[in-house]
Amino acid sequence: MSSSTASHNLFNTRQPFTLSSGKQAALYSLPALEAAGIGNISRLPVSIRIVLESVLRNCDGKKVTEAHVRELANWKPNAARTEEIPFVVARIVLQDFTGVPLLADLAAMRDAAAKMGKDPKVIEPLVPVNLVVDHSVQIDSYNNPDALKINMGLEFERNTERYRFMKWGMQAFDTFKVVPPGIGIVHQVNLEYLARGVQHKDGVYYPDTLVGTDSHTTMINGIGVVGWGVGGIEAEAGMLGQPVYFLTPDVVGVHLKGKLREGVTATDLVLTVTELLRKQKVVGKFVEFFGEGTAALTLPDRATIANMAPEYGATMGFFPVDDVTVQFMRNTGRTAEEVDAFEAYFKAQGLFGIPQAGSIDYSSVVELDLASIEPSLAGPKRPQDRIALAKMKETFNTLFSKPIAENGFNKPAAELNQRYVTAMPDRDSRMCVPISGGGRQDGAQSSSEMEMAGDHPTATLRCETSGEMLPPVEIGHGDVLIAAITSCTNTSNPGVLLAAGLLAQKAVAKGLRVKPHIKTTLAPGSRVVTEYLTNAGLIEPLAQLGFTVAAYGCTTCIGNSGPLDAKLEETIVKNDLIAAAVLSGNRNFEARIHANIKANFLASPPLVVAYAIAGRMNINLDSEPLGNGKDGKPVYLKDIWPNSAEVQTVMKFASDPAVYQRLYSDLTKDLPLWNAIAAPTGNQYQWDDSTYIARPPFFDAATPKVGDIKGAKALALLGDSVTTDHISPAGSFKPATPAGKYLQDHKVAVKDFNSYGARRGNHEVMMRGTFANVRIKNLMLPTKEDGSRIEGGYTLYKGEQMAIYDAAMKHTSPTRHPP
Amino acid sequence: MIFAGEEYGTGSSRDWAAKGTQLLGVKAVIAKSYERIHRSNLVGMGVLPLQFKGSDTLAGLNLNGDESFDLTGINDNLKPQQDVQLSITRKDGSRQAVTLLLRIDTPIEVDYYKSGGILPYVLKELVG
Repeated sequence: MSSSTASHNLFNTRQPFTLSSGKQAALYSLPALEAAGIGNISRLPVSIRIVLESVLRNCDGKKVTEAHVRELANWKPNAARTEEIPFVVARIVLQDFTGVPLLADLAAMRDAAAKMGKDPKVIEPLVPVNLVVDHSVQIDSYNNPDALKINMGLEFERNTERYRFMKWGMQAFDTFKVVPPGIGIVHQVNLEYLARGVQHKDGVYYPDTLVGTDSHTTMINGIGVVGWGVGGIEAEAGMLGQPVYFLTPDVVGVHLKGKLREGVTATDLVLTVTELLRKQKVVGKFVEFFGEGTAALTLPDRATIANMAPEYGATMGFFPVDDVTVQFMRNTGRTAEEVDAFEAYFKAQGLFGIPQAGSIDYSSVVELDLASIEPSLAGPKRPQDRIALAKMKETFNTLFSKPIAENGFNKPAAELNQRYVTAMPDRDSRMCVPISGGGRQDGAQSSSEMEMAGDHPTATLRCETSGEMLPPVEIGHGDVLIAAITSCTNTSNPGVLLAAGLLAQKAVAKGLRVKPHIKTTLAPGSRVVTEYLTNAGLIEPLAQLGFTVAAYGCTTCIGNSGPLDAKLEETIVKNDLIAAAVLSGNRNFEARIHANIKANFLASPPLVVAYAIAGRMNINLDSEPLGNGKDGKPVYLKDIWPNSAEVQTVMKFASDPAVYQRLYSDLTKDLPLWNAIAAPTGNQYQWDDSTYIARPPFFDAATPKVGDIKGAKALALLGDSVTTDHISPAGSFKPATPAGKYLQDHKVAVKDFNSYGARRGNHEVMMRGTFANVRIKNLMLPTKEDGSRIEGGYTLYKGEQMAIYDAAMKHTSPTRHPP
Repeated sequence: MIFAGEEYGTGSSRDWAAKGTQLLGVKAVIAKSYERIHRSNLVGMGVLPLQFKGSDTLAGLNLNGDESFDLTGINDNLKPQQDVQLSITRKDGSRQAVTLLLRIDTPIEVDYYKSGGILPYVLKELVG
C-alpha cells in the first residue's frame, strides 16, 4: 500500500530532471511555477519555497487545493496571517515517549483490518516513520568505566514492557522503523543517518521535510530540511498521510556577517543568537539565516544554531542547502547516488546556495556580526539569559540576593560564602530512597518546559548500600554538583566536543582533577562521537576527569540526571543551598535538570569541563585560576584552552564516512540487552495485560451515524484559557485519582506508578487522567463558604460530586436511566 | 458535552487531550474560542468543536449542570462553519435555543468527522 502518488501537471510544473548518472526523473518545478506567472517565487524565502513545493506536489483539489498553491506562491513579507497551510511532509520522526501511542494505534488498526477480513499488512504508515529511543535512560552511575553498562541495565529493567512492544513494531512494519536505545539522540541520528537528502517516489523527486514529536526537531533545519516539533497527534495525522496545518508564517532573515574570533565556540554563538532573537520576538515565525557569515559556518555549527529554535521561540532556524551541506552528507556516509541526487535536485529548483543580502524579501532582517560574539554561558533559569564568561562570578553573586522576580534567588548576601559539611554516610543502614531527578511540573510555559514534565520518566525507588556513598564533603552556594556534556545541541558538534577533549587532555597533563562528588557525565549524541574521541586519543583524558561515557540519550538535559549522593541532597535541602549544574544542553528551567539544583547554566562542552575542574560557578575564569597544577602553580583557563588550529588537526577523525556507514549498518549488533528482550513477532501484536501498553479502542465502534445529538449532559463547565495541561495533565498522579485506582487495581504499587507520559501507550490510564488536573475548576461545583471553588477533576452527577472520569462512565453507560 | 470560555485548549499540543476527551464519551465541546491546534485535534478525534456566536457566552446561559442538551442541524450535508442549534432544557422544563457556529473548518474535516475521526477515516481508505 502507498499513498496516492503525485501525477498531476498543474501549471505545467511537472518537469523532467536528469540525475548525474544520466537517469531521467521528474520533479515539481518551482521555476516553472514562476514562469507560469503564479508568483514572484525566486524572491521568496528558501524555507517558504520548500513548503510551496510540497503544497504544489500534493495538490489534489481536496486536502490541498490550487488556491493553497496560489496563496503561498504569493506570500508577502508583511501581511495579516490568517490562512493555514496544508503541509504534507515526507517523513516523521518520533522519540520513544510520544512514539508508543502511535505504534499502539497502528497495531490496533491492523487488528481492525484483520477483523474486516483484510490482510493486516495493508496497514502501514503512509509516510515513513522513524522512532528513536532516547528519552528513557537515566544517570544512575557516573565517573565509572562501567557507567554506560550500569545505566543501560537499569534502563532496560525499568522499560521492558515498552521496549518489548517497540521491538515487535520494529519487525512488523516496513515504514515504521525503530532505532533502539543505546544508539543516540533522535536529532543527531536524524542528522547523521535518517536524513537521506532528497526523497523520491515513482520517479518524482522531492525535498526531505518532516515533523517530529520533540521540540528540538529543528536541528535538522541545519541541513536545509524544513521541519519542526509538533504534538503526538499532529505527527499521527502526518504519519497517516494527512496534512499538518500551520498558520502562514512571517520569515525573519538573520544576516550573519564576519567570522567567529579565536577561541569562540558554536555554543557561544547559539547562546548569543538565542538572546538576540528572543528580543526580536520571533515566536511563531520562521527564521532563515543568510549572508557570507552563514555560508562560512560549518554544518555542525549550523545544526547547533537550528537546534535551539525553540529557545529563541521560532518555528524553525533554517539554513539553505549549499556546498557545505553537500560535503557534510558525503562525510557522514550517504551514498554517492544520494549525494548526487541531493545536489542536482536543489540546483534544478534554484534552491542551492546561501542567499546573499538583498536577494530575498524577508518580513524583517536582523544583523549579527560573528566577530562580536564572546565566550558565554546562559542561566541560571532561562536559556535566553546570556552571561559573558568574564561576568559569570559577578552575575551569580548578584543574583544570589536579588528578588525572585528579577531572576534572583532572594537569599541574604551574608550567607553567600558560608560552607556546609555533609553528614557521615550511615555505614550500617541500607537506604532505599525515591530516585530524585528533574522535571518539576508546575508553571510550565514553553513547549520545551512542558516536554520536560511530560516526556520524561519519573523515577522509582533505588536502594544502595552505604559503601557506595561519599565521605563527608564541604559544599556551598554556587558549587557545581552536576557537570554534564549532554544534549542534542552540542554533543553532535565535533568542533566543541573535540575542544572539550583537548581541554581535558591539557588539564590532565597539568595535574588538574575534578572532585568526585561532582556528577560528571558524557552522553554523546551518537556512537560516532565516542569513535572520533577515541581515535583522537581524547576519550581517556575526559574519563580521567570523570567524564566517562554514561549513556547515549537525552539524559540530564531532559531531567534524567538521576540522584545525587543522598547526603549531598540532604545538605542542599536542609540549608536551602543554591547549588549549580553546568551542562551543554539547551534549557535550564529551575528544578527541571534536577529537583534540588536551582541554578543551571548552559555552556559549551569545554566550559563544562572547565567549571567542573573549578568546582564552582561564581568564579571569574578570565582572572582566577581553575586550580593548582602538579607543580603547585596556578593554572588558568587560557593555559588549557585549545586553539582553533589544534581543534582542526583532530577534526579529520569526525569526517570519516566509513565510520558512519559501519555504525549505522546494523543497529542491533552491539545491543545485547535489546536482543535479549523476548518480544512477540508477526504482523499483529499479541496484547497482554500490560499497564503500559493496551489496545486502544479507536476502531471498535461502527462508523457513527452523523446526526443530531439528543439528551446530552454537561460533563464540565469551564472558564477561560483552559489549557491542554488542564485537559490532559503530565507528570505523576496520586493514588486516589481514577488513574491511580486503576493501577492499584492492576497490582501496580504506588512507587511504580511512573508518569502519565510513560503510560501514554495505555488508554485506560490516559482516559482516566483526562480533565484530572488538580487545578482545573469546574463551575458546576458549588462555591465554598470563602467564595473559592473546589479544584481538581471533579463534576456533579445527579447532584453527587465525583471524578470527571467516573461521571463520564455513568453518563455513557448503556444501563443508565434517562433523567 | 464540555462547555468553556475563551481560548479553549491553549498551550502545547498534548497527544491525549483530544483522544481522552473522545474516550470519555464527549460528543461536543462548546467554547467561546479555540486554540488552533486543539480545535483541529478535536475534529480529528470525531468530537464536534462548537463556538458561541456574537455576544453569547457560557456565563450568559446560567447553566448549573442539571440541564439536558440537544444539538440539531447535524446531518450528512454538514458544511464547514455552518450554524448548529443548541436547545437547552432546564430542570423546570423551560427551554432556550442558542445558535452556535460549527468549527469544522474545511471539507476534509467534514470527512474526518463523518468517519468518526482521522483514524477510522484512514482505515477506511486503506482497506478500501
